[in-house]
Amino acid sequence: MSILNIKTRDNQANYIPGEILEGVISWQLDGVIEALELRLIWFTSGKGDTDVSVENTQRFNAPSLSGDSAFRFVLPTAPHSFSGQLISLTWALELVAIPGEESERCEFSLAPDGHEIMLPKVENPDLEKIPKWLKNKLQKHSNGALENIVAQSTLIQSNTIQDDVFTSTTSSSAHDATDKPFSS
Amino acid sequence: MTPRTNPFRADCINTLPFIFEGEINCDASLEKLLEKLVKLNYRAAITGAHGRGKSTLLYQLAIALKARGWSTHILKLDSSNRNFEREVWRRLPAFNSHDFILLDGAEQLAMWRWNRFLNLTKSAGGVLITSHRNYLLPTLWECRSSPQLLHALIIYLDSTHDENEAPTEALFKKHRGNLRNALRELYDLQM
Repeated sequence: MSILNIKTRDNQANYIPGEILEGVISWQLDGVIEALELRLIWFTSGKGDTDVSVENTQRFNAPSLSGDSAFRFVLPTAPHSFSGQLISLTWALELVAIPGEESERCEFSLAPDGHEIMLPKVENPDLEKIPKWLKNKLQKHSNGALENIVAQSTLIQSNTIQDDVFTSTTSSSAHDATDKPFSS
Repeated sequence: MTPRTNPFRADCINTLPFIFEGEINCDASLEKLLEKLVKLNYRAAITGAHGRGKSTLLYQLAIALKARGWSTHILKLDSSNRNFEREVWRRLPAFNSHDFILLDGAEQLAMWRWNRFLNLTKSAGGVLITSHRNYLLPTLWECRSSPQLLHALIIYLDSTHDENEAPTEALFKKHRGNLRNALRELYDLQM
């Protein structure tokens, strides 16, 4: 099994939008591979479907069996790292050996003050106040559960991150180990 | 607890292994199913009601088939997407004896489209579907659920699960055996 490692400068884990994220990757491989790819990604996790977006990549072609290399990314301005009741949005660096399934992930926060935004818990929500168009939109993302609709609607109305969460188009499947469907 | 640390978050539920009731060795059970699939001439269905693990078993078999050298192709239909795109219909006849088509949600196709699908995939090496209906193809496996199975899945996801807080039997009854929905409810209890 290969050893892949990602180390950010000074082990920094909190970043603000537009900041430089730099560090060093190192590796010890079992055999020859085509490339190592470092991906700057964000993904959501929680009650609903998972969204993943690859924002940037750096490729290291034909790497030697062991070595290290510096990397540098300029972080985008959005979306911000956050956690609510239903969804967390997490930024990460992912180092992937190509071909193969070996990878290493290093998570970090991207937010205006560098720390993940914690959304408050919703108590006694009032369903009647939610517009119909919003209910329909949320229904799609919450498996139809009414309480989810309420919680997410509050999230969507009270936070500017909403569009990044609900309009992202890249969706990952938990079953990625097999061939991707050519229709979904 | 945050959504990313909730043991009942969607990505954990979606990657649960399929558990054969009463079978300890999952690999052996998969082998038996693959043997049965050969006997059924590689045309078969995984049947069962909502939330019983049909898709989970289908994807697990897809991995096993791929490991045996098949070129696997997964198609997915659901209530919001009840037909293939034109490009998919166009590609179906091109599959050959090395290709294995796995269709999740076959009952979504109207009967005339289902018949068309069967005709167009005659040249494919295999077709395995999931369906709520049990008459589309011979049944390879009927997925069922039980409180014991639900309990096993809960413990798999959260070994510290408090049975007093959410009794498995009651959860199973409330969701009428739909394991997926029962596990989703546990997500809320954690938050």
